[in-house]
Amino acid sequence: MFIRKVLLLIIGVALFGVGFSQTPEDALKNAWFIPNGTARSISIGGAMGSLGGDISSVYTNPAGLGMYKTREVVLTPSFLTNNNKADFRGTNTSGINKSGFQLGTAGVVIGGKINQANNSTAFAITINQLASYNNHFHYSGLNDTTSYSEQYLEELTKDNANVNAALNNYPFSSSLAFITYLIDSVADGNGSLIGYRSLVPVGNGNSVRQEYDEINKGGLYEVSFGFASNEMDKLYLGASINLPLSFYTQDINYRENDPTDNTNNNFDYSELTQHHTLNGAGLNARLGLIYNLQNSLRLGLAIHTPSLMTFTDNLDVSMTTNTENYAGTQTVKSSDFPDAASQTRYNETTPYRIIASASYVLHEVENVKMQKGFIAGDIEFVNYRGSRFSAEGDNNDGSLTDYYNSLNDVIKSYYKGAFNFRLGGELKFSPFAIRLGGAYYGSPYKDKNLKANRILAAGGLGYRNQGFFIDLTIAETFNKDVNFPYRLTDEPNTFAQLKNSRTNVLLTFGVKF
Amino acid sequence: MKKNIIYFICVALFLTSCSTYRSSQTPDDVYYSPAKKVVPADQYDEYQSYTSSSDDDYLRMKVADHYRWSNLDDFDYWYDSRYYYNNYYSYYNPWNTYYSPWGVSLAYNFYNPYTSFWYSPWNSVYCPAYTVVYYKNPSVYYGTRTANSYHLSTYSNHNYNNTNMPMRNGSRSNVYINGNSSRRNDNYIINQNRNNSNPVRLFNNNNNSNSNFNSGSSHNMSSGGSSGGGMSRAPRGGH
Repeated sequence: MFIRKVLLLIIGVALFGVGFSQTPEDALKNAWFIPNGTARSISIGGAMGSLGGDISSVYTNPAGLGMYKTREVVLTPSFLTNNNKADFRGTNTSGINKSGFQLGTAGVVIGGKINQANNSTAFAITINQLASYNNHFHYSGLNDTTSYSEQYLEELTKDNANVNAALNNYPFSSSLAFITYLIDSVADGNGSLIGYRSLVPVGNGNSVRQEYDEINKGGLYEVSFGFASNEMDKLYLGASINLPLSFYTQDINYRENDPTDNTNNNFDYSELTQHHTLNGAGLNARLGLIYNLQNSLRLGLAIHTPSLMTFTDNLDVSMTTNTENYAGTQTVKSSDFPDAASQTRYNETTPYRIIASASYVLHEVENVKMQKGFIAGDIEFVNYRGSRFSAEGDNNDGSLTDYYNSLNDVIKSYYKGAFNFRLGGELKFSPFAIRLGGAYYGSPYKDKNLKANRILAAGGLGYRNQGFFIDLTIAETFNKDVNFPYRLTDEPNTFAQLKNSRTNVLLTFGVKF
Repeated sequence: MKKNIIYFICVALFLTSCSTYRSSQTPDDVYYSPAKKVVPADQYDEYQSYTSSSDDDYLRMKVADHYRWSNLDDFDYWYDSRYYYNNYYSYYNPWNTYYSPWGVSLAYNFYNPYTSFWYSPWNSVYCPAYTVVYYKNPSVYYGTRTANSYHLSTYSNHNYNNTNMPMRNGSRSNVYINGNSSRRNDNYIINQNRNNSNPVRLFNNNNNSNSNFNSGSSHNMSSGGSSGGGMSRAPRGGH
């Protein structure tokens, strides 16, 4: 019985060695984002690397916790709205919105002294939604060059797949296209299979209308345990152990249709629907130090280790194609394939980060009426090309190992390391404070034709009195990115230029106790 | 949404009522974090540096409630060997480092009756702020969906085309405006009876065995390629 199961597994893996798997885009989900925090930290662009004294220090430089000799509990609910624009082959789409709640930093910081007046330690437990995946992209336009059906042609011909393989071995891609007659086989004069062709008339004066719709939900959360020490109010050392939790749901609806009224060209439309969930958990650490020079100048350095994460990936795909007189309307789902494995597991190692910071604080004195403000800045390096994937657990299948090695090679060649810049400041008129900040996150893509960046502009107000504090921040994030509806190897690829404007309203409420 | 707002307000009000700084200045730890001591706000008319004296604290509390704190006034407390190395700070400091190199020991804090209780009930083990978050990996299993290396090869194609040809007489010309733009390579299309605008890909070498190929008709081939029964597709109509 056991041997039979093993044989079935081996045969299954051998036969389904060409199914869907992880893509380089997955590497960016948990790496390229502007981290969320408290309203105060976001209002100064997230430049908390050397400042300290805010619970969100856990997420930038945990040495900042060492500033605490008091205790506080913090809650940060926030609300965000997305406004998206897209340019796809000259056709602009706008007004695609999505909104929702987001959890900012919440937790407890407990500071205390050791045995000298200026030495102390602090401890924090926090939870934070570092990144929100909530968004909705939509674009459409005519394409006179390629069709998404060509990715299936390439897949089958590169694998030298015969008809039986085309029917069975690609339950998440080419088999759907073949069964619904989006693509069909090509024979030579002797009736031998020599390749595959698409039913979509495109090129040579013909166009196809392409429409892409993607709805994303979920977020990257992190539960953190931060520790820090303070020596003589000069040197602060900190570390945090963090448990990242990623919950991602993606629904894609892609459609190609014949823009003409011709009902005799064997193609009306083809529609692909994909439901994808990706849930993972892992572990990482952050180490940092802050040195407080004379004249209120603080310097910080922090290192974020890669996150070691394990993901569970579930995928369901269906396709409906209407080829008019050729084969009519056909529908097939990946779940119709008896051996299709809709779930897989894998490991991911996210990129490391290094943050160098400086800040200047006006009047580091106890009397809050004399505290006047600060300015702070961070420079962060993220090695996006350092993401790595591997098979989960004790799965030592050779084809999987080869695949993940290839995937890692693509990540190394497709992405690059990038610098991020954060700058912000506060003016304080106790008990009130006003804040302003911004951030620039560089493109993770090595190819300069792919324009991408993230820009944050934020402002906020704070009130601190009678044992509590409340901070309100409005942050506007401008995200520029690209989206490929499909990719080809031997034809020019097409992509949409996406522009996302995200408004985030954060309210942090905290109590000193 | 309304529920969330109400919950948030309730939690905020509840926490506010527990603050020990309601009648004093509220510290801002970004600028300066004072060691824990509540000083009335009117004492800040002129700046004073903070002085910490646990003896003063002790005496102040003793005056306020003699019976409550009298049990501290004994030999065992002041000369307890656990705290002897620096006892008067231990008495005051809930973050005694005796058990921890970090100076943080929740267990010690929970069991030490001499710490944490006199300023606020929030300092105690009953405080909801001491939430302990337990983490556990979700239970998942390994599937057999495996890798497709074809898709990865597409990432090495850095040739892009994001513009359509201009319309001419109601249809698109195959004359390209941008001479450097790469366009479809129609060399793939062989002499077959089909529309030339349908994309085609042929095998690089035709040495694969495809004797079961049956062009243009129903393909019902369940043998050989599948471990669990084959898929089929509906027969074509009209052709």
